[in-house]
Amino acid sequence: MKKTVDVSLPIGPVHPCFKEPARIKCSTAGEHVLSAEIELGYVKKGIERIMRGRPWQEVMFLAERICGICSVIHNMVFIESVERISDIKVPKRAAYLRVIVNELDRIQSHLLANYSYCYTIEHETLAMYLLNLRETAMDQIELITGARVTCAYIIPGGVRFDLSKESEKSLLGALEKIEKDLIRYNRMFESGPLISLRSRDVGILSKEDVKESHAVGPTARASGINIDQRTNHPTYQDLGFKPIVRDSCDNYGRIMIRFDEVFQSIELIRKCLEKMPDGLIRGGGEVGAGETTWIGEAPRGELTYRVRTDEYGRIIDIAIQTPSIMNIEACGHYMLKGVDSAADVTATFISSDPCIACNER
Amino acid sequence: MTEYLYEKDLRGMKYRILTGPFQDNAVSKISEHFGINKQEFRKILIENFDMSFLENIHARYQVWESDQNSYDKISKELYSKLLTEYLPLIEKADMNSVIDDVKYSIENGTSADEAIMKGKAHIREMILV
Repeated sequence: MKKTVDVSLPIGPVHPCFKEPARIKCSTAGEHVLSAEIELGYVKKGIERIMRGRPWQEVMFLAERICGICSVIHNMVFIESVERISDIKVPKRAAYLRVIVNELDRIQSHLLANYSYCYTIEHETLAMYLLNLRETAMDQIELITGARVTCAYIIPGGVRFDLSKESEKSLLGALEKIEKDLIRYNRMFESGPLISLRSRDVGILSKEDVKESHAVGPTARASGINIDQRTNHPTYQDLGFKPIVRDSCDNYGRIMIRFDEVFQSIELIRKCLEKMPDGLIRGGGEVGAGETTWIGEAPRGELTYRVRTDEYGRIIDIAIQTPSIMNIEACGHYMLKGVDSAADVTATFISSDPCIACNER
Repeated sequence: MTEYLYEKDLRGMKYRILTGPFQDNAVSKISEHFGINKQEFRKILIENFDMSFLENIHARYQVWESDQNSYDKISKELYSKLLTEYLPLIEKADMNSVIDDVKYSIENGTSADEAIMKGKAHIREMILV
């Protein structure tokens, strides 16, 4: 880490390409990046400590405030942890509704990630198209849950609101629109010669690097690692879920796999709507004492919650491992190492879809 | 690294990261195994790694732990892969020389446990230097 270099180039904490504050310190020889350090701590929340000692009713709201982009999965994993501790059963319809909202959240998160990347490589037209398309997914989240971001839709033993026939129709229409538009945008990204120049063979993350840093989610799957926690989730198993894997190991692969996963999420939602039975959306149950570790698949990768509760449902101890912890580290120490130009540093960093809010939980 | 005026002292933030529940668990296990004072070990980690690496210590420790079956007894006991690759505090060549010393001691009649204890003490010195 400590060596003499031509230039120590700091990027951030405030940078036009970054959605959240982080500082990348690059050691460069001319334009060539030798190594990079990532400096965090600008928005540290210490939320695990805030959660400790509070009842689950408060913690479920805190959990989804860890991240403003993928709040649904935080809500889902925390509630599923509590359900496992207290052996609370979820009605089938509620389980499918959870997947629908979770996949809508994944769609909007991936579209936002790809918007950020296109914006970073100065393809603002495609970036704005994607950001506009994201609104369609956000509208559907609002229609189903009543809120755009912190919706607290998932509760122990079920979900808050049912999906009406009108909302179902609106959802199917929105999915059709997203799919139709995204085919065009995907083609624009896939065939753009300048996009290729800035993306192919840039920010290489090899299989070995992924294993060493434990990178997860699309970042790992774009490097040929078949790892997706949805394969361990009972509802996703019902839907016959299979992860998408690419092996280009570069920025291009990481963006393309997110496009692929948006199409996959659309299919999953359609399957849910087909298979979803009528019936209750909330069962009963009371949160009791116990301890569990439960892992879910957030848009950025595996999200782990280790929760311990007392007999009144208060949180005695909680530990959260978010996917960005692994992905940002993999980006800083492997992808950015050896990047040919300082201009590619921001693009590579954004390609790993870093969520500083999650990292600084 | 050169001391710049605009560089902040990150020790406080790094310490906060290391006292997180998952990170603390990994740090405790490693420091206990080698008989290093936890605070001393935290200081070494703070000096050697950046913030994102410290956040990721638990995940790296987990990967190494899940891969334990593929190592021989000496490497497993000396945490060779962990300390050279997943948490690079020791050079590979230095680690190999410690492993060779342990093997040599065992071949010359020292009990395996005793030789490994000596190896661990050697590694502890390397970490603390």
